[in-house]
Amino acid sequence: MKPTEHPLDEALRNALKRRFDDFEVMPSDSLSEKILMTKPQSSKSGYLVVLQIILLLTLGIGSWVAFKFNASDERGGSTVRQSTSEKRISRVQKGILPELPQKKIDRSVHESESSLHNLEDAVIYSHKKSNRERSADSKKQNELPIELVAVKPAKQESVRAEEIEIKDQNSLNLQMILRSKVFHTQKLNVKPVSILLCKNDETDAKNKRKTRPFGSKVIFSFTPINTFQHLTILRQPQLRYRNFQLPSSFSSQTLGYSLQSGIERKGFQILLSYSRFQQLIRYEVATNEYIITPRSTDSYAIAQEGVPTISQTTFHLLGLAVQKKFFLPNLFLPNLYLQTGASIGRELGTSQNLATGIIGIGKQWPVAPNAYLSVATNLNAGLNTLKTNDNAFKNRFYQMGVSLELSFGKD
Amino acid sequence: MSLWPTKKYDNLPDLVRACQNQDAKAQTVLYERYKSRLLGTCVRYARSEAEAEDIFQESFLKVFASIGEVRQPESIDGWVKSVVVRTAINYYHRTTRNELKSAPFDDFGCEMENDEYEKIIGHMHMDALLGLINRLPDGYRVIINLHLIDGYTHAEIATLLSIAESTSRSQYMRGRNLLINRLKELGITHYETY
Repeated sequence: MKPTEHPLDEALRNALKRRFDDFEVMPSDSLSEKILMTKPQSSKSGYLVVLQIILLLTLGIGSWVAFKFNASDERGGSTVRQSTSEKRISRVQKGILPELPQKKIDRSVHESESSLHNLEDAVIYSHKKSNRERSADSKKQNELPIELVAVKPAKQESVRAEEIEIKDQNSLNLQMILRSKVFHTQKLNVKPVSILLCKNDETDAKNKRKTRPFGSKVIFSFTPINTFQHLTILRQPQLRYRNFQLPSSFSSQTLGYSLQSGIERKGFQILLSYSRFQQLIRYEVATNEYIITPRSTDSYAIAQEGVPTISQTTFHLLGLAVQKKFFLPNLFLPNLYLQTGASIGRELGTSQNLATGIIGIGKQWPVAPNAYLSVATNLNAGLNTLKTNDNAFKNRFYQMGVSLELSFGKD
Repeated sequence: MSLWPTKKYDNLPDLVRACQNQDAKAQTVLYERYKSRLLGTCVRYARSEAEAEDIFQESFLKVFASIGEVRQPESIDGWVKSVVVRTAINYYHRTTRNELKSAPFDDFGCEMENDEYEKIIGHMHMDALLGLINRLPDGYRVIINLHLIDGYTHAEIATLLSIAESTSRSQYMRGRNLLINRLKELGITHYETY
C-alpha cells in the first residue's frame, strides 16, 4: 500500500479501514443457492453421468437384442428338442418335448450316455406321435418332419448315427448330433422313421409361464421414493438455532426417485442403482441482538431476532445393491415374492457413503415371452447417517417406495 | 463404513487444489469461506443491494471458473478479493462509466481536524456509512473504495480503470472532498443525537 500524501487521507483511510476490514454481509439463501447451482460442475461428475448413460444404454440394447433373438428363434427356427435330464425325460414321456435352441444342441447331446438313451426315446416318441397326430401336427407351423430314409444296423441291436440317412438337408445340426452317437435299434424296427422337430407349442409356453423365473435376466427398475428422516442437529460454534419448522425430528420430506439396472439369476439380483432425493429444513438462526422492552408492569420482554434460513440438500447416490427374491407358495396369488437385500451408495456431491438395508414384497407378471413386470413395495433403512451440505445436520434416512421392474430373459 | 477415503481440506492450499479439480464439495467450502466477506466488498462498490448481489454472483462464477489459474494457493485470499474488485470495476465500466465522464465537478473544502473524521466514522452506524459511500457518484465511489479502503495506488487504479494516473488523482480528490463534506454533515448530526 502506498502511503498517503496527505494526513487527511491517512486519517480517512485508517477510519474507513477499521470499519470495513472485517465488514461482512451474509448473502441470502436464494443467492447462495443460485451461485452454488450455477457453479462449474466437476468433469468427473460429467464422466460419471456419461458412464451411467452408456451403461444403461448398453444394458437396454443388449436386453432388447436378446429379447428379439429369443422371439425370432421361437417363431421361425427349427429347434430340435432333446431331453438332457430326468425332468426332461419325463416331459418327453408325457408328450411335451422340451425346447433347446440349435446352438445348444451339441452341448446337450454330448453330455452323457444317458442323452443317447433320451434321444432314442425322443425318436420313438416322435415316431408314435407322427403316426397318431401327423395330420394335425403337420398343420402346425412349428413342426418340421424329417424323414429317416434308411437305417443300416451295424449290429443286431444298435446302429451308429452315420449309418442313418436323413433326408432333410437343412438339418445339419441334427446330422451332426446323430453322427457320433450309438442308438439302440430294438424299437427302431419301423422304417422310415419320422422325427418331428418341434418348436414351441402352446402347452409348453403355458408351462413356461407358470414356471417361476429363475433364469438369467436383465433388469430395469424405477422407484418413486418418499424419504423420512431422523434429524440430528450438529453443534455449530457461535450459532444458535430456533424455530425449526418440522413437526418433529422424524418427518416426511420430499419425493425422490431411484433407477436401477442389473442382472438376476436364481432370484439373486445385482443392481447398479442411482437415487436422488432432497432434504429441506427451514429454521431460524438466532442472532446476538436482544431487545429488552420494558412494559407497564415490572416484567421485561426479551425479543430475539432470527434470520430465516433454509437448508436444502439434494442427495445423489450412486451404488450397488444386492437383493434376493423369495417366491411364496401359490396360496392366494401366484408369483408373489418377498425381497430382501442391501445396498452401498456413494453420495456424489459430498462424497459420503450410505449403506442401506432393503426389504419388500412384490408380485410378478409375465407380459411377453421372456419379459416380466414386477411391482413391489420396498422399505429402505439407512444403516448410517448423511450430513447435509452445510454440515449443520445429520440425517438417518428411511425410504418407502413402490418399484416398477421390467426384467428380460429366459426361464 | 468407508469405501472411499473421506475428503478433508486440512489447509487452504488443499482446498484450493481441490477447487482447481472442480471438486463440488471444495467449491462449496470455498464459497462458505468467502461469501460474507466478499459480499461486504461488493456492497461497498455497488449503488444498491441488487447491484451488489449481481457483482457478487458474477464474481463467484469467475472465481470458480478461473481458480485453475492460481499458481500460489497460499495467496488465494488476495486473489479472490482482486477478482471481486475487478468484477465490480467491469460492472462499473459496463453500466456507469459514462456517468463518470459527465459527473459534475464538485469541489469542497476541508474544515475539520483529521481526528474528527476518525471519530465520526468510528461512531457512525454501518448502514449510514455504507449509504454515504453508495450515494457518491459512481466514479468517485469506485476510486474512494480502491484507494482509501482497498489500498490501490493511483497507478494501479489508472490501469484498472483505463484512465490516466492524473485523472485518478483528481477524481480521488474530488470524491474525497465530497465524502468529507457529507461526513461532516452526518457527523455533526450524529454527535448531536448520540
